[in-house]
Amino acid sequence: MMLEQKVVKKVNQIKDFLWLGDVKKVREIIFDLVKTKGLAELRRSFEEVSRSFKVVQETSKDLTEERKGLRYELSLAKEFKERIKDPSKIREAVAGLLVLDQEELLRKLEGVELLCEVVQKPSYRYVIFENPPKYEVRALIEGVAECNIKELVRRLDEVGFKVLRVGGGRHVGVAAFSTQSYVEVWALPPKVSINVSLLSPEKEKARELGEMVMDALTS
Amino acid sequence: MSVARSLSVELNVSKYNVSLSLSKLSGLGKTLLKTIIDDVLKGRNLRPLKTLQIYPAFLDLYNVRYTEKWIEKLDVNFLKYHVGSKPKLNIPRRRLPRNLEYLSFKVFSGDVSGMIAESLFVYFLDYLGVNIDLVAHLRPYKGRQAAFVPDFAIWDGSLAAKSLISISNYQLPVYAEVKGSAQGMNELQLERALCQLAKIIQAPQDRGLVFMAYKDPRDLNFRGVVFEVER
Repeated sequence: MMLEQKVVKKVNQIKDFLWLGDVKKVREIIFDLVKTKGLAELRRSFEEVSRSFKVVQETSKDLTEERKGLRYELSLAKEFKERIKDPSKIREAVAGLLVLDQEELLRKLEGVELLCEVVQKPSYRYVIFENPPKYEVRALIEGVAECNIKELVRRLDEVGFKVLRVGGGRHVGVAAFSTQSYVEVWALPPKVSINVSLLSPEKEKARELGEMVMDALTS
Repeated sequence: MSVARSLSVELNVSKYNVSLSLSKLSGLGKTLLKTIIDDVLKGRNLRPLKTLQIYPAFLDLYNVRYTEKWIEKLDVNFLKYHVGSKPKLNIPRRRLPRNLEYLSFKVFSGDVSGMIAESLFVYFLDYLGVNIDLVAHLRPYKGRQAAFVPDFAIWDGSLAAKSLISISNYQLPVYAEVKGSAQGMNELQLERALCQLAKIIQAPQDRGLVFMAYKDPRDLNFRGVVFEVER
């Protein structure tokens, strides 16, 4: 795998953990990312390309009256190309700016505590956001590309839910009603969003339902 | 399940048959862009790529990872934009002076249209089987030190096999600029998208994509069109 691809994968992983609110894990991934060999070259390319682009923008102001439109941008691109002789520099710069942004994120996260408790299970981790009688369980699956929808439907049916299923393939959507609750599951691995509405609001009940859904999906 | 979330909407995505060459466009400019838009709106020079079954709830999950702004309830917004139902405002009975009108409808937001389009684009890539873990969203950096970057960079090598790119020896990453509109589409939007790609597509093997999600004026359905862009 190319270095740039590794960077992009990590950046997307970071975004998933930010969605979960797991800032501790986000820090870990960034620390891990910045240790990757070869990143210094990407950062240097970004600095060089960014600097050149600014110079081109500045000098082009004096050259043309037209400051927007395709013709202007193409003349800008031509100047830019003349300054950046090696096109691979631009490719590296794009990956480099992703790295720099993660480092900036790390600084922004200094002193930021976990917003809510992250529960770690063998094949997933989750958090619960409370807004009684509604609860949102956000979960991230580890190492599973597809969810076991059949098992989820079976388990929900077993505990007395009426189940409606939508989607297919990687996209899994399930809604389930019982006399006491309503559950909506949207899974796009690694992310799973579970919305629970309870007749008698109880966080523990929401947790129980969330874990049941996740255990079934990852079985 | 809430009605909005359980509904599915079809999105037809086509590709414009001719690659847009930036160097040729510099000479022909707006006339050619007008012709291209006219072609798309009349269904000419288009090759169907995929009909996606869009479940709006998933747009939320793509939105979280791949767009600059997080718009909550993007699924509901998408359906409203799809149906074209603008929020209606209450109008006082009192008459206004001549030449003045009450604001009776809120207009659709360009920001929301943009986020819908970006989410649809990644939905589309995922549906095609592109490895979306290798797709990076670059938009947040455009305004700062990196005005030369477009919305997305895609480091997946399978784009030619998926008919998105017409040459097999293209250079990674492929850059993409996305535009969305709750109305039709016009040459200005295409021009803006090409402007964003012009700076970064430098070498003969570099390729870019423009993805436009727009409301087709013929049947008012959302459609997607992909343009391949080369130097």
